[in-house]
Amino acid sequence: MVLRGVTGPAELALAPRAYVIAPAGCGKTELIASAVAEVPGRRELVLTHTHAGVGALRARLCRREVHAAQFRVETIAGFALRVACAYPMTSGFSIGRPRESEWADVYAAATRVLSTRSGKEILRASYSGVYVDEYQDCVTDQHALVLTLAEVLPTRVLGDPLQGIFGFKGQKIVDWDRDVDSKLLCQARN
Amino acid sequence: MRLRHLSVERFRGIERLDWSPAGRVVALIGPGDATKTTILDAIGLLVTPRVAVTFSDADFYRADPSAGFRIEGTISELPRAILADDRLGLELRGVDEDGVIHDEPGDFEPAVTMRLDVNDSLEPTWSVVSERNPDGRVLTARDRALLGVSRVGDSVERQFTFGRGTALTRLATSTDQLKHTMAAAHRLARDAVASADLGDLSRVIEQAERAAAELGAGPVTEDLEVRLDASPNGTSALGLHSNDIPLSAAGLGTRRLVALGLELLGTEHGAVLCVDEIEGGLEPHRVRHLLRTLRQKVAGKEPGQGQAIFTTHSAVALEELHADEISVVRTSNGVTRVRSVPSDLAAMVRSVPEAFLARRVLVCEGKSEIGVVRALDRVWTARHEGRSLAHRGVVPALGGGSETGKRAQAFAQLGYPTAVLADSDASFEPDHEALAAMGVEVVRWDENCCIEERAAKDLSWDSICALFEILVAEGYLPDQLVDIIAATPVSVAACERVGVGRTSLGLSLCDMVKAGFSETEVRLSFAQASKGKAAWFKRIDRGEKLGEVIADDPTAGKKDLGRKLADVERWCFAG
Repeated sequence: MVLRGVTGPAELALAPRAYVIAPAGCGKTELIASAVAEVPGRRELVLTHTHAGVGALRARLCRREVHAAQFRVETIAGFALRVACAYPMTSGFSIGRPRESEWADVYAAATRVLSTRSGKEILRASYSGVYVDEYQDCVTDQHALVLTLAEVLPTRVLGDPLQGIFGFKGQKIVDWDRDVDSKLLCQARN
Repeated sequence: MRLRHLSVERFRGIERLDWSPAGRVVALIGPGDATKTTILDAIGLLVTPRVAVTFSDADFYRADPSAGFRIEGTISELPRAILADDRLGLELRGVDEDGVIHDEPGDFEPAVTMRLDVNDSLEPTWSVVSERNPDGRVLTARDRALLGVSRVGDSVERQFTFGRGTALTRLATSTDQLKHTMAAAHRLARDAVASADLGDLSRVIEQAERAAAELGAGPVTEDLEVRLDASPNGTSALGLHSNDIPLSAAGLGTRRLVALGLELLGTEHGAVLCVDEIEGGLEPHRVRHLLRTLRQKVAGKEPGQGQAIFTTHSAVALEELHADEISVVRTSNGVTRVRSVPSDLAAMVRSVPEAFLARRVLVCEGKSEIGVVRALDRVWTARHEGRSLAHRGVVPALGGGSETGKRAQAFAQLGYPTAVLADSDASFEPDHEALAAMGVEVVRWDENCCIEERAAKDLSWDSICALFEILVAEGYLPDQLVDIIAATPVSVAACERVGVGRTSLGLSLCDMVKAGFSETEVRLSFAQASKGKAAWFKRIDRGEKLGEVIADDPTAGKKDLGRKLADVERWCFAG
């Protein structure tokens, strides 16, 4: 497991920006759960890609008896849809149940909302920080959304660049070296 | 926090209200039953953190609950906690720099629109609404509690009274022995509290002292202590005491200031403070100090300082307020309108604050007219079954010569039924069309004359002589008076006509007639002298004397003087 910017769960919990590279089965989910449990009194947004992932994260947090008020676990898609539909004029998106072809617009729509002054205020009022699991599966629109979150909140991403398998219909998968390393961690160093 | 908009439908005396409060300090003025207090109650109910609020049919417009009532308010500068996406963060609206409300916050300042609906089942429903979600999402008492809005006024008294008729009281009064035991127990308990370690409470007391001192509550609040309020006939509670005397025994003004100070303390993060009758029980200097301190607290330089919305009936308060901090509340046929006073009327507010507190304003060109109207009030009251101008809410206001027309227009624009009583000589040239368009009734004497000239023309000879005697009684020497009268152009011409020296006209108006003047010449020269530099009647008290003479005059009623004053009377008692 390669931890860039941090050495363990305690430091990950407090890092303003960090990313973790580890192959499947190395305990990334467990690392997130222990980092969230590390600092009580906060509320962390934990994002992943699949409902299975959400279930796994919730189970880990539950096992550690982390209070439900300390986290919100969601798929990136669910989070983006919730934000985009709350402010349809700002996001330009108002389809409550998008079809497969319409999903591509959701992330840019949510990014538009969260880039505004009020969007940032909502993020600050809602969460102390963000974790994104399975980052290698992020398409570039999702990556842009995470960068917007990172402007306001401490953001830690975890993934395995070698696992990047999902790539729907011409959507570009995030390029780990170019996008994650340079954007997320460089911002952190600044 | 800041209330940006309030709309009310069918709540108590308000059938409809649509209001955007102008600033951070908002003083609501208006005649009785203009629904000022109802506005404060509406704000208080909209954001009350209480769970069980009971309503009755009397809370509905015309006591008719069939259509329900609705209160809707938009609040900005929200506490951060409420912006979270699991609270109201995804239900926000926005307010731009001009105070215009937008349905989505975007780059504007976040705001929420809250709604309270009560239907004929008397069950309240609070919700947060927007155009994209017109039916709203239910708002919990927990969410409402996050919004710091406090209603000071009615609750103050409750804070300082003791409950009666409890089971314990009934038991205690059933036998003497129990009563004595209870009293002894109270005394013991009181001593115990006095010597107890108060821990965190001491800090609270210190804060209360500081808050009270800041608002000018006075020396009574300098040595506050926590004591058991002991009352063998009622309930007991831990309460604020000063020198072993409960604070509930302090004066009304002091009690209210302490309560206000505590409210400000408890909601340090920019509360919306609603206060009924801000001047209640306070001397003018404490009213002024309170308003200045409040303004500093809520309208400081940093954003998010909060807002104070209060009612007042105090001219002193109006003098202390900036014009644009004053809002005039008027209700007619259920429609309530709140208009803020334009800032260019500042001088006028300071000059005639009382008129702003009137129901109807009679703008009088000068002080003589004000005096005359005051004197006639007594006569009119008798004629209208004891209804006085005060009862009618009519206040004579000084027009100030050439300002008269402007002032009348300003009052009319703010919604006051307005009339003008003015001279018809040069100083005031009304824009008749503009005034008529605003429903201002203008009463002016015939034949280009001022009130002194009109009186001199229309009063009986005896009344004219009475005016001369009034001036003598006021301390003028008769020869001085005649000297001044003799110097007027009419007198000079008459002297030439009659061939008599200016110094040999005698000591009274009758003497002047004896010297050969006609009554008309005497009347005119008396009028010219009065309105000239001597300005004998250009004081409110002398105007009142003039008014008394007019009231007692047997013939004035049939002349222009009496007819025009009857027009004024009709306007005062109409509607």
